[in-house]
Amino acid sequence: MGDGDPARPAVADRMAGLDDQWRALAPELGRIERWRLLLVGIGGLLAVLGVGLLVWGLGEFVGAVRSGFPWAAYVVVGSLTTSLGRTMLGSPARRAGKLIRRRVAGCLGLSYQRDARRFPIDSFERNDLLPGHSTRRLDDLVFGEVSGVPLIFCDATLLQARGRNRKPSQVFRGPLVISRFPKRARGRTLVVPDGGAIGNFFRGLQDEHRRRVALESPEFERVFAVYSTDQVEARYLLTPTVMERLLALRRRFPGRMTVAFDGHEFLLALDDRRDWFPDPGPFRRLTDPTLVREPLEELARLAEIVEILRLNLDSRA
Amino acid sequence: MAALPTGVSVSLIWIVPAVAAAALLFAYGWYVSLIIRRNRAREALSSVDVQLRKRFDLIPNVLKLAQRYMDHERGLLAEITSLRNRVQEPYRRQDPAEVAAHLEASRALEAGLGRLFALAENYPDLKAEAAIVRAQATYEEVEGHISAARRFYNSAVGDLNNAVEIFPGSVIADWAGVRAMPFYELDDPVVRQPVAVDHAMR
Repeated sequence: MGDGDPARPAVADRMAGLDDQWRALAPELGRIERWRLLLVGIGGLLAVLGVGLLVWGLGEFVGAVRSGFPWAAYVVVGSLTTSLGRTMLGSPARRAGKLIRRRVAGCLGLSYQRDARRFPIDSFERNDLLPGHSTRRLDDLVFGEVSGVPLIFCDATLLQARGRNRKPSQVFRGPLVISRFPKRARGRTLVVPDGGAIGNFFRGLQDEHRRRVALESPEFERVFAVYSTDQVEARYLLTPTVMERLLALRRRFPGRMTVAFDGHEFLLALDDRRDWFPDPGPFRRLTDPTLVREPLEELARLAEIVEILRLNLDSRA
Repeated sequence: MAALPTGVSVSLIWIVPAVAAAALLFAYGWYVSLIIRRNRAREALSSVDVQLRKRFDLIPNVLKLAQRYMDHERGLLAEITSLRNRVQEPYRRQDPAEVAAHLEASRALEAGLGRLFALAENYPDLKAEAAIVRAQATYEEVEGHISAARRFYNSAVGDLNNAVEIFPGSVIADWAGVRAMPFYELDDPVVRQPVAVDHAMR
């Protein structure tokens, strides 16, 4: 973070008041830590017991051991025990992670919910920002205002089934962001990564409503391809300044970035194959103050989207 | 004259028409691309006119308000009215000279309106008028759209002019009657002024 750019607030600036938040969290995290130590013991024992039962079941199956119980019973009980052990192991870390993220988000004036099912993903589907998928999981809903600009974020995982017997493959993993844009879009304008001459040609064939918009910036054209139902409006939205800011955003956030404008909303889908808000590991000490830094850095990165694009400026530039 | 061997003459019979057909096909392809580019430039010009229309619709209200407060600027108000009438005059889109005159008039109108809003700063009563504040906001939005339409038009004209002016496009364009079109350039004296670096660095 920071990167020496004076225009970008450092994490340290955003941490103002976080020590108080950490102190407020400490007793609760201390309780969860004691619980974690207990559950690591019990869950670990259950996991070991489960694995043992599975091995015994296997022995029964191949005829190496005889106990009088059917081998399937060992496998079922062993699987259930292992699964219970795993759940017990991860449970305190999940609870602590949620608590810390909620507190850190609150400190930055944002709200946090683990369940993101109420995230308005239909805006992204309407604007063809997401690849085709059969199942999806939305986590980590963050919403509120950054520099006076409303912002909604969620972490999305999209899976596409490939045949009956094959495991679904991941087609998207990363953040979806909706923010306010100072200008109003009436048509549909989509900014996608440049697919080269052949890729862009086929993309143009797929989309019968939107036409390719050739913009003046060679650098922007190298990185992105723009399609719109309205050639003039696309240029109204994507002024040279906005193009520069999108390029800066692209440099800051590696991954497949797609952007759309819908009414006064700016929609961003970033397929960076990362979990932005992972839970701490089951064996990590939950009273470690550095635990707070990770979600804080991710939230600071999220705030940067607004700051790099300067969505807070009611500018016509 | 010695007769050509039979094999060579047979080859020539095929090669000459094949080259001619290829040349014709190439010329036709170029012609089609010229017409597509010309139509795209005309479509972009229509977009410019659609956006300019928004500006025309705004002007009467702005002038009405300005007349109430800006007694000393009657000359400028009259000039804007006359420029608006000039821009509204019909023109032939296929004639580059008429297109250039039309774009020149809209540039002058833009400059006139810019001056008017700048002068309005000297009239606190006018500045305080809610209707002029709204008009100014709308004007800024309309100017944003005009600027976008200008970029679209200039991009289309750039493509057309390259195809028309570079050989062999120049020959085919001449034969097809497709002509280069004028750019719609920004005529903002403030933008064109040299920057006083010494002063800025001080």
